[in-house]
Amino acid sequence: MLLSLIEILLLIFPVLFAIAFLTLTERKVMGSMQRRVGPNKVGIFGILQPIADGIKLLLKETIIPYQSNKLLLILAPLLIFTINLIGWAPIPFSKGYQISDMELGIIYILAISSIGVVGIILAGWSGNSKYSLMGCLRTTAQLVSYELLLGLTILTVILIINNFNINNIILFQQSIYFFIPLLPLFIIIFISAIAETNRPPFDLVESESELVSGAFTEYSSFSFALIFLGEYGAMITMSTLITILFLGGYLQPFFINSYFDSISLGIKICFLLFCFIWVRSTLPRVKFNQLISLCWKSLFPLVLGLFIFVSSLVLIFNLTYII
Amino acid sequence: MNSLIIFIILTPCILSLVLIINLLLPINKPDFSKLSPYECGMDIIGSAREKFNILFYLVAILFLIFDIEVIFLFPFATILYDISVYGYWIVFFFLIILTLGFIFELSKDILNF
Repeated sequence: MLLSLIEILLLIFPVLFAIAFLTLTERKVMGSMQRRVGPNKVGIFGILQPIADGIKLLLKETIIPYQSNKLLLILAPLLIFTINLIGWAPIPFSKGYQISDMELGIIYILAISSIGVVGIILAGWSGNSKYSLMGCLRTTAQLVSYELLLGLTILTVILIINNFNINNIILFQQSIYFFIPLLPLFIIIFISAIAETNRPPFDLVESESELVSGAFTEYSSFSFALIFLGEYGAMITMSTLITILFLGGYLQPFFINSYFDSISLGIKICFLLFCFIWVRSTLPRVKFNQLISLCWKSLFPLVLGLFIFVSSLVLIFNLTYII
Repeated sequence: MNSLIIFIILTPCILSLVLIINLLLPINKPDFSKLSPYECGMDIIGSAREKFNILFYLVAILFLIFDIEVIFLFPFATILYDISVYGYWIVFFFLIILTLGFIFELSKDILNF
């Protein structure tokens, strides 16, 4: 009991710190890409900025609009952020270092991440504001479409491994990381991860010029902070998922000692997060019909085709003997 | 107790503790215009919960069909090595039927907003 409590706290606090400093990283990296300095006043090089932001938001007044469903309005950010943290349970940081080594780890992550849509629907509907209602409808259409893509891409990787256990998926990649043979799928899952976390160029949920702040217009103080952290947490969870499926998780090409496992995992995740920020500062926002037709008319048929292609390859070359 | 169950129970507890601190700590001075829903600074016109046409309804229905398809494919992905060619062809025809439906929906132009 006590041991698992310590285990859980050892997971939660580093994740919270990672999310907090990811917000700083984004501002710094985008600052450098746009020839600015970024935040540099609080602490050395602005390193204490996220903590200052957090304390500021904690000390702000919570505003609950009078026409809203108050209970749902408070519960929705809680749901969004909780779902994010709970998604970390089956993720291994080294061999055996995880909260629970479940057989259906990948399905658990998929199921948890699809509950996140419910949180956004609740947040948008309960505020009883027109902007937030429109924003939540858009978000639902977007998340639902790209979740399908995510599911199919993961399925195609599962075709080769025949197992849902995350440790098995990682250990299977000892000979080759999956992003080399399955490069198109890696690109598609990266695109759908960007869309799934509502990042630019697919940030139609909170496109400021049209919808103020989308589903989260009515939020203030710490409820807003929870949603904000939830978005960045979703980024980290998504990049961890991609790392596990395509970049070999905690496997390491250079070091032999298993102490470096989690460092290797961290470097891969950081690279993907950097790519997320890079995409944000490079590409302009797409229109909503472009977003939907990108998903349904080009990527979805492509992934279905790749699914058939990979399963045919598996049967033709009879990979049973290789395993 | 399983540490997963403790994890699932403990996380919302910690977060709601922080939320309660946030509700108690600052000075709350609500007034009418502060508590009204945001609408570009104007007085609000009507309620947000009126009937209107949701175009994304069809996207959601399309999602429902194909998500069920993905759920059917999950067991196929885990036992592909056992069922080999026979099972492969069955799934192939299943996908062909779904693709015909998908082509029909594309030709109906429901994805053009």
